[in-house]
Amino acid sequence: MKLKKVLLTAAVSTFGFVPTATADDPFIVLGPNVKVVFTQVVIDGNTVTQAVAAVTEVVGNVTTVKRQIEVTVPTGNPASPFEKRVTQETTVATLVGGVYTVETTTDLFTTPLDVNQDPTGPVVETPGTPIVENNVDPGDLDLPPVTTFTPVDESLDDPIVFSAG
Amino acid sequence: MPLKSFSLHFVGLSALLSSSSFSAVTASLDFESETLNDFFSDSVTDWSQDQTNPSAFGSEIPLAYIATTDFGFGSSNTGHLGTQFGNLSPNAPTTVTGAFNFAGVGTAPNPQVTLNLAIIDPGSASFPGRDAFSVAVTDGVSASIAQIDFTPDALDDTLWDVAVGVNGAPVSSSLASVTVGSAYEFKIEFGATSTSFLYGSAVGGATVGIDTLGPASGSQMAEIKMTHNPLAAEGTSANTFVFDNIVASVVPEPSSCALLLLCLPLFAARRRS
Repeated sequence: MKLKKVLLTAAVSTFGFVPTATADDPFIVLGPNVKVVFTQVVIDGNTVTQAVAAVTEVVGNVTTVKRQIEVTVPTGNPASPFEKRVTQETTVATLVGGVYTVETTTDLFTTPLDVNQDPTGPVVETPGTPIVENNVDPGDLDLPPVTTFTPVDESLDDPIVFSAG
Repeated sequence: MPLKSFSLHFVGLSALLSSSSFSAVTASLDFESETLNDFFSDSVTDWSQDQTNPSAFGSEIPLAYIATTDFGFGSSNTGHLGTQFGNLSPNAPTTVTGAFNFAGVGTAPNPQVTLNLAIIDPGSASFPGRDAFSVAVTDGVSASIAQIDFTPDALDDTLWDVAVGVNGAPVSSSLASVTVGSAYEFKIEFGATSTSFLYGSAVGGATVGIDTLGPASGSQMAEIKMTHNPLAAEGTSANTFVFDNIVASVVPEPSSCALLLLCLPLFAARRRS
């Protein structure tokens, strides 16, 4: 699916969240204000490209950060030489009485792949156990970095051009 | 000689000059016939992209695409190249190439190229990095005929320094710079003895010189290349190079102008008689 299709969908969600989640909805909507960051990482001794997208939403005293990480790694298994790993992490920080309660849930989805990196089996979901931190001081709140930005106004400025020579 | 007769001669000469020097020798590239969010990798007419777009989460992430921008005369489709939606890992340059569909410019003397350019940057704390960009007019094979480079200014995060070069030689720095988020028109004039680089506001006004270098074979130009050169660590920038209204045309030839000047006294003399 190309991003252009995603952009249309994103019109309903300024900050990348899906308004009413269903089983088919993506964890994060790649809208016009979301960048997918690709970086080189080393996993199990292999240098691979990792994709990360993270969005945030603040409603009242509750800050929610959704982060999705995708990476494909070699397995050494001839039957399925690669594995796609998608991590979906949700961090909810709730401010009560001047301190935060932070709950982080991390779910892992793995898919076996062949040499062409096409699926050879079903997606396996491994739900994570929520990790809760209580009485977190605002100064110690360490939420995952987001990959969003404010879209640039499409109207450009009229520059002042000075003589260059 | 009746005034009417003089006028007919003058109009005829003007039409001849116009047809030989202007209307038949202009090639342009804009994106009005493209669809919003089309990708340069596969969907933009007369353009190609040298890198494969990255993919993740079931989506293809574009490195170059069509988006709307207002250069000062209304929003329109423009070309966008950069890291707003994604980036290559490991870092590598991305070039999109537009082929001029010349109807004479390729063989005409003294051509010139004008185009609208801008650099935009959302300036997010998540993406503090800044990258370089360049524009190159080439002969369609590999040789760069003229090039304009834009490099982040070392002291001012809102400026990109401008450097220019001809004939594939390393670019030379200039005193010119562009401000992020501003709309410019750049011009390259190919002369018999020199190549002039100029720029100004996209909406008009004064055009100032960037530099004047040696002659380059502008008559051989066949393509224009826009390149994003990542300088920042991978994934840390969201700069975009915006381009539109690329026009290659011919500067009035000195011989044509001289012919016109020579003819004017003759017309005046015939009119008096």
